[in-house]
Amino acid sequence: MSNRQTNLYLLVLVSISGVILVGLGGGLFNQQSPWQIQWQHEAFSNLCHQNPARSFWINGQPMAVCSRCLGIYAGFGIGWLTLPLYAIANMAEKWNFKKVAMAIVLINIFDIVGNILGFWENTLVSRLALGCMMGMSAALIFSGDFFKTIIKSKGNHYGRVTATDR
Amino acid sequence: MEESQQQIGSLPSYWNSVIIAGAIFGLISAIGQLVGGYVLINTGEQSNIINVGFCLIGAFAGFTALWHYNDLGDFSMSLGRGALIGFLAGAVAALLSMGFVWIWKLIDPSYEQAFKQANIAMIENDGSIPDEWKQMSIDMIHDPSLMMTILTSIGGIVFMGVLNMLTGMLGVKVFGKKEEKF
Repeated sequence: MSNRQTNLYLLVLVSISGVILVGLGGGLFNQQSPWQIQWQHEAFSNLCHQNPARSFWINGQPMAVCSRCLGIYAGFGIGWLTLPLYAIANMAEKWNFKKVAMAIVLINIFDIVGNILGFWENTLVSRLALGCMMGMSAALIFSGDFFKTIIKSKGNHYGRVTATDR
Repeated sequence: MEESQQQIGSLPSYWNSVIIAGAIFGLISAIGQLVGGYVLINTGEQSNIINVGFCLIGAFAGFTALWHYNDLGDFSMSLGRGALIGFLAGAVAALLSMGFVWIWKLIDPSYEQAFKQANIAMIENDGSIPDEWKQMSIDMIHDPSLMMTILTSIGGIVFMGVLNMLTGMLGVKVFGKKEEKF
């Protein structure tokens, strides 16, 4: 398996790790200042509604992002980390991850609308799980872009080398 | 090789796409903040519908910038270029969002004071916050330090940029015609 665009892959890996770490909020580090004025909350104020009732809490402080956003970031991070495994399994050739991601986005929208209209009440865990699926499916769209698998043929085509590429 | 260099050399400028997407999502983000602010001022509570509706919407500036950029011509795009365009669109959106809110405070000078009072009232009524933290928060709302304001503004621009970098790359995958190979 060989790696292409290593710098970009690592940049995204470091970036998403930073986003997750900061998104967990000041409670993770037991910061002794009110969470409303912590820099983690301010950093995400343009991106997430940060409603404490819709966020997980650590050490008596809500995270800097809501449970669905946390799921999206964590899912993207997990998906990004496992991209090499998907390259080994040659999943990019077998699955259309764009369609999978689109379906999961629609499920999330359906969940949000159903909750707002009062058809059901989603929970912290259900929002985290759906967000995680969305983030992971978004990361898997890049399977086949950063790693390629070298396949050595056997039998009649012994010795022929094929690289998965898109 | 020469052909690919010519192709890279003839790529159109991305600044129009960056500024258009940044302005749209900066405005949306500012409207979300202001509407949420007025709901808090008038009801004393945060609105779930508005909050959820605007959640993560700011991360789509990069995606939109790539959509616009892709329509400028028939050319290939690398993921790295998509990441750069996305990052810049996010940073511009964050900056313009701050600018729009600042302009609104000039249009409605009573907004800032009313928003501060509503925030203080919300904190005072929140039973989950320890009393000493309540006082610290209220002091901070009354008199925010310049250093804290600058740091949080930079943090906001960086995180908005990073998330839009990811959606910019998604934009290359969704709208891009064919990627350059490395």
